Amino acid sequence: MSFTRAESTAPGLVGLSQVLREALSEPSYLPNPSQVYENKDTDPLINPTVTASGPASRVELLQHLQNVPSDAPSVRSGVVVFCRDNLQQGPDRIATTGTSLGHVKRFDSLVAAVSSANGTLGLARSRDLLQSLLVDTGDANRNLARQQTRLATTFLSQYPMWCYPASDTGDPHRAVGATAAEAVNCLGLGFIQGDRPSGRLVRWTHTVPDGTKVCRPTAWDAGSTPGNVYWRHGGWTHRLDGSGPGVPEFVHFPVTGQQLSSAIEFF
Amino acid sequence: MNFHELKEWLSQRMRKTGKGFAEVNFRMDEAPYERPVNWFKSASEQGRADFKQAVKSLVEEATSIPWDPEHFHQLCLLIEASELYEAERWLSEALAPGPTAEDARGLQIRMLTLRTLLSLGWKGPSPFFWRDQPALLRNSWPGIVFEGIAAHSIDMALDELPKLALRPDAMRNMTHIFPGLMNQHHLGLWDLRRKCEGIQSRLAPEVAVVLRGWFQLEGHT
Repeated sequence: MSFTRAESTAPGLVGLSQVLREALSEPSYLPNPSQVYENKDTDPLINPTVTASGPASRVELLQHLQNVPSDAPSVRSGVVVFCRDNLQQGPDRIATTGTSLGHVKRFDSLVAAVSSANGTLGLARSRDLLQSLLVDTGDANRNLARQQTRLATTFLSQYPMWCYPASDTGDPHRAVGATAAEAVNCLGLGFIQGDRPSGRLVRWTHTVPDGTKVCRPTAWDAGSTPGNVYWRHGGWTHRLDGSGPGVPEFVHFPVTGQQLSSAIEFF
Repeated sequence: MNFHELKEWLSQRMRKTGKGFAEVNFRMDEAPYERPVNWFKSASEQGRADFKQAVKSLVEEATSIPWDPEHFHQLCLLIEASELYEAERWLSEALAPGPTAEDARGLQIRMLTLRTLLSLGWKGPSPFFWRDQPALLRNSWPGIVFEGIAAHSIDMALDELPKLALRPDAMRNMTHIFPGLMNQHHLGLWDLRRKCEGIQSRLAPEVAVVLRGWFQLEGHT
């Protein structure tokens, strides 16, 4: 059931789907300015109506928006809040421990993640530490051991991590390509390529601790900030060049350096 | 954006609330300070002046109420990433003992203030200033004291290390600063190793193991 149908379930919701479509519009994304809205409107993982389990429903989003001013910035902000309250509700996909997941991010994001409120490392010191740990010693095992030890209790991300399966231990990132440009394309990271300088990118593989939920992302996980027009539902990344799906994608809460299964490295 | 809108935008992003924080892209792992820093770097003269005034006002608010340390940490990262050297004055004024200096939140705010001051190149009036800090920080975060003394003299800081690194986890945290200190003082691994040899015997055995382990993992046995 789409938002249009969802709004017909209660009198107070009528007209909200159009307000939502306009608020989430991204005119600069020429292929489809309504992409973010349509992701939320058509994701099959999202329940149409309220259920006891599973991802929050479209009806609940509309009900949430009833209490939000109807100007576009407020509606967009209201959608973001709703999405952040409903993260990682998609089906769990990886139940076994020891499965390696690949991750690509901006080096600057990793620097910010390593600098914590309870730690003595600011940005410059975090950058110094990471740059020293990303030096290739020529021994992959030693590279990994240094990072696992030094970053053992350090979270590697500020927010939930988006990952892909990295089953080939000999070349764990083969599926996303050898260069930063190939990885950005394969993983659909248009927000890195797009509206701001990309900076350097890093990649690694990690496992998750026992009991960690690893979910297929829903349109709620994808959020609605500008730049998320590049996401598509279905459990696979969306190649930026339009050549079809990239790799399966999963989302989970941040892990520490102890969980690394191959060293963090620059592209 | 006028001054009040700018200050509200910064406040919302740093305090992780409202429309300002709603625009932060989680999927990109965007830090709250990133967009404001980019805005500041490309702002007009008036915009830059407003930005500085807004940050000054937020520092005063954050250190007097005080804010949640996580939110103050974000404000500190904004100051460091913007290279806002004017903040030295505002932050050093915030080090004066206040009504909340003794509680856990006040202690953490003090550590973050010292950390940010160091990142701006501030050294404190003398090495003796830093020797008073362990008591003021209730012996938490000895790494910041070590770094503060090292800003005056790396040899003096290493000499002080046995008094600061009383537990293995404290030593481990201090080794995180080693790469930055080596860059800052143009020290090679061998130089640092040689300087540390003299203090090994003054460390508790379980702390000395951590220091030796750090060098071993770097390839120096």
